[in-house]
Amino acid sequence: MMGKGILIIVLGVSTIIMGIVLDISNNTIQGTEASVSFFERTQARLIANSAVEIYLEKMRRDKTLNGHFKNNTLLGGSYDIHIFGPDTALTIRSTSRFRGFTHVSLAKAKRSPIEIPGISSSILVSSEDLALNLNGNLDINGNDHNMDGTPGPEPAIPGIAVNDATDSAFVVNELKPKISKSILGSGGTPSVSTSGSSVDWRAVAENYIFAADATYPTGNYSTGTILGTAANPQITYVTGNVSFAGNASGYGVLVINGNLSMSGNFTFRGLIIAYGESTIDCKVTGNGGIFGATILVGESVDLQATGNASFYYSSQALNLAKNNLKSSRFEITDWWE
Amino acid sequence: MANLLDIIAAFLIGGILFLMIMNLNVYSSEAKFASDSELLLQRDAQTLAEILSHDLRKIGYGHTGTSILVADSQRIKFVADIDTNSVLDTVTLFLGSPDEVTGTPNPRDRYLYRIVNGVQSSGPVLGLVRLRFVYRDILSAVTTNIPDIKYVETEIWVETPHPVNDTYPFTYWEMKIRPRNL
Repeated sequence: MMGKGILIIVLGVSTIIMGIVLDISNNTIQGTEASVSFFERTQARLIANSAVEIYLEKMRRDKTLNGHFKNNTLLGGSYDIHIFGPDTALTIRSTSRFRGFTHVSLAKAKRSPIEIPGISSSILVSSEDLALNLNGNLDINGNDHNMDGTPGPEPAIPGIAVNDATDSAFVVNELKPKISKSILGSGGTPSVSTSGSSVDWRAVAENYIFAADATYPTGNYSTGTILGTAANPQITYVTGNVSFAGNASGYGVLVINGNLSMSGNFTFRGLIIAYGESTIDCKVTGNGGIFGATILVGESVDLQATGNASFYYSSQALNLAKNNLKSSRFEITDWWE
Repeated sequence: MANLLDIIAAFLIGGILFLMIMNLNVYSSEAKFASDSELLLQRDAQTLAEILSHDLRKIGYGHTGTSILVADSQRIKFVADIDTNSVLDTVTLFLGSPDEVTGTPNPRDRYLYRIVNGVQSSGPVLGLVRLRFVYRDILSAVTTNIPDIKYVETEIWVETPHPVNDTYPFTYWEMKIRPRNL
């Protein structure tokens, strides 16, 4: 009888202890869950913020990217992105989900405009060592021209500019009389001057490369090659030596990391930068033309021309590029998370 | 006689068992209370951290220029479109006085006041006993110059509203927030 009583008491006590232990254990679990939920909220926020960064990077590469992009996965969660608005007032809305928690982050951004440094000559040669061989009916003109060849509204600038007075004297001395008369622009004929510009053209070129709309490998490009149009100018990057021939044409900015050769009727309206670590050869033949400005940057530059090529300063062509080309940089104006 | 001894022994054992159960009950009640208080403490600290984090991360949203209006160790006032309705809000966060909280035995707990556009709100007492803002510049050096502020470091001390074994257990949270609009 007594044994049964004790057994009942022991079972009762055990039940009570078990209940208490379970209750305390439950509290511990809930306490842990409180910390875990803070982590989960934080993780959801981090996913949403990271998603904005990911799509900003995609927008750098794809300048027309917008719309809804749903159910992307990241860090064990998922996110939706909605990009809308013009380049001057972009909104990127990121909605993330992580283990039942949702977070929204909003970023407002504007695409920074492309920058074209002040152009101080129709052709700028920035080099320690300069070689010239200009022949034919070459026409280098620092007077402002429109893209159709008619006179432009801006004041004249030099036809050719070089680094220092020694180079300037060298150019003048090297010019044949016929060519000398064909270098027009401010300061008389031949219009050759020293460049007072401190622009780092390599850095400028690298900025353009970062924002390039089209990248071409080294090679020969002929009729059918279109490096942008007047309606859609573009930033074109050529990774090495390039030769343009036939009726190839382009608008915007052309950056060449190597030698530039032009022949046939190749015409470009905008800014050309040819740069390299060592020698830059620029060979011009045929009847092509550059409307805008040409920048040649290298340890040494060898400029050779024959034929009827034209290098016209054109503020209209440069403004077309400046006003229509998109950079790949964004300014974040606001961030809500 | 033998029966009497059996009864006495049974009472003795029963009494001991009863005392043990009572003691166990008291112990378990205290343990449960301590455990409940610990859980409450963690939840309160988490809630406070989320409130502060929610507001401080939005400093300057939709506003150009200097967005922080007041920045001292006990109070921060800033401008932000906190609810994304394209209307700027002025938000103030500060710690109240211990005298204002009368509903808890803890003599040190205070309200966290949140004033949005002049409308004051103070939520439930969450055991907040101390709040400190530290402001840092872009190099993470402490600054008192408002235009230089890039980081807001927030420290909170939270205690239980009721004593546990005559003491008020506390927890401490620290957050270093970089509001992206600064």
